[in-house]
Amino acid sequence: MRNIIAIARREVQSLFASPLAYVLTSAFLLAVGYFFNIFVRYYSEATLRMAQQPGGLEQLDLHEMVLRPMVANMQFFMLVIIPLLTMRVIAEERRQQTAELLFTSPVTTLQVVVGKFAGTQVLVAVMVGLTLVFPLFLAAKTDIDWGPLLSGYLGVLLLGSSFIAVGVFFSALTEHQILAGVLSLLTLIALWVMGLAAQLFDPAWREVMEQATFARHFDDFHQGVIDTQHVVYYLSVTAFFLFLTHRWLDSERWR
Amino acid sequence: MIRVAALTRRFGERVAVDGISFEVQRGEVLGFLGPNGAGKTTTMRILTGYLPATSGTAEIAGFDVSRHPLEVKRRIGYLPENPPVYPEMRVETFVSFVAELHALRRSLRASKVDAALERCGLGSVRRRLIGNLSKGYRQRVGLAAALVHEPEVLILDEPTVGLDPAQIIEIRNLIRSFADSHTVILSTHILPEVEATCGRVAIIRDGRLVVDAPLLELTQGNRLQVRVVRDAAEVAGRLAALPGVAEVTAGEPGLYRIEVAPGGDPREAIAACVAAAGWGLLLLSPPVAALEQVYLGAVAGASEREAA
Repeated sequence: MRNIIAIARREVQSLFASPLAYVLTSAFLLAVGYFFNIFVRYYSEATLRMAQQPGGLEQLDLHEMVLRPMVANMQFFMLVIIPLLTMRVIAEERRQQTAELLFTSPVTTLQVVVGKFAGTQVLVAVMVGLTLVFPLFLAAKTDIDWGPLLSGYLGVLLLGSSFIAVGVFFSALTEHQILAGVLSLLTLIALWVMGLAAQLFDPAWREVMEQATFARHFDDFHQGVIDTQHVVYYLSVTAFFLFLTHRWLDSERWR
Repeated sequence: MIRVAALTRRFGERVAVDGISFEVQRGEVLGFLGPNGAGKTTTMRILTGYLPATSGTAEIAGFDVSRHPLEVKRRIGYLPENPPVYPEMRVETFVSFVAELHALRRSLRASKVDAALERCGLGSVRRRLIGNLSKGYRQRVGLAAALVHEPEVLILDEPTVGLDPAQIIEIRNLIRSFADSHTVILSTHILPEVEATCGRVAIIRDGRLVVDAPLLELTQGNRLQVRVVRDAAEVAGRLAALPGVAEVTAGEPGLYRIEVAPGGDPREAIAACVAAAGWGLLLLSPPVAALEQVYLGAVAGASEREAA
């Protein structure tokens, strides 16, 4: 455990020592903030309109109209940002040959993989956590329903961790960072749209593909439902890709 | 301390290391020589647990590298050919990170890091970013990282490549200062470096070990050279007649190569003889390029064997 923390902490330090983390965090906040702004404006216009009808205001739901779409949007931004963050994690270690340091230190391959993953997860958590300023703005003026909002955030982080695990795997697969980034982006998109493509297949496969897709497991979270089935789904995708990374790195040394 | 038996490593069809066996005792410094691509780095990577061996065993401090990799890795400090450093880290943060990987307790860590930085002459750059340091300093950072946990065994892969002469001497002195307390394996192309630091020499060629002997045996053992001021026709004959001299061959004027008979030590007799004859002794020493000749002989010999 101590080794994992040491590796994760170094990873975070390195991320924050490079402009990449700041650029991506800013871009993420900008994107989330831009859409938040649009949703709030739309909501306030709707308020003015509905206020003229008796009982109209009761039909408006701040969570449904502003917070839920804001959280839902984050998944798309993460789809693009996380491959950019993860593409270097292991590829870079190999390029600058620090992999030789890690693998000749008394740490196991699994500790290296988990440490690298955890470091990136910390950065993503910081990034996602910073977007809480937007609901805090709202909270200053009105009551907001924190429960479903925070469970939505939990969903985002779980989704993020499976994205990161996919990214770490591709970063271990190739020494070329760009290639690693592109491959993980394509894989994430494929896993994303698999549910849509499922319509084209016969029922047995359709069910499998619909269950395996990322999107399907996300919606319940921002409705305020933390269903263990979805939590387990994201955690198993994460564990599966980290396990693949571990096996890949170990087997590679035999070649 | 280090025991390697019938170690073999294949990369696909290519045999990089072919049945190497050797031993290094505690406190010994082994110079590991060989042409580029002979298998030095591969052997070192197997010893450090970075690469698995195809067959054969490697043991460090009694622990088998493949069966107890963590025990082995705890006991070694490894400096690969390109120092594995993170350019975006500061020198002391990096060395402290390596100390942490070696599970040095927090209370000990600061003093061990200080000691390693001090020893490698990094005190003045400890707050600098590694990426901004010169190659020589980066090499020293790598060395400090390899030493910080005070390993019993040090494995250094071409530690002086790309350094200027002053830095080479510093690193060499550093290596020599470990000799008593550590077991060191040092790979290099620079033969004088081996003569200056190593007690034992192993030469590897095409993955096979062709020489494994104490340095003294290789370089002194049975050869001497003598240079006189006033050369005379009878010098060779008179020297050859001395007890302990097996054969004398004349080189350039005034220079004689002497084969020493096994077990003999004719140095005193030669000095006395030259002085008595009034030839004027200028030089009496082992051949200057002795190791070079052993090296070239070993490497060429191996290739001839292969051709045959």
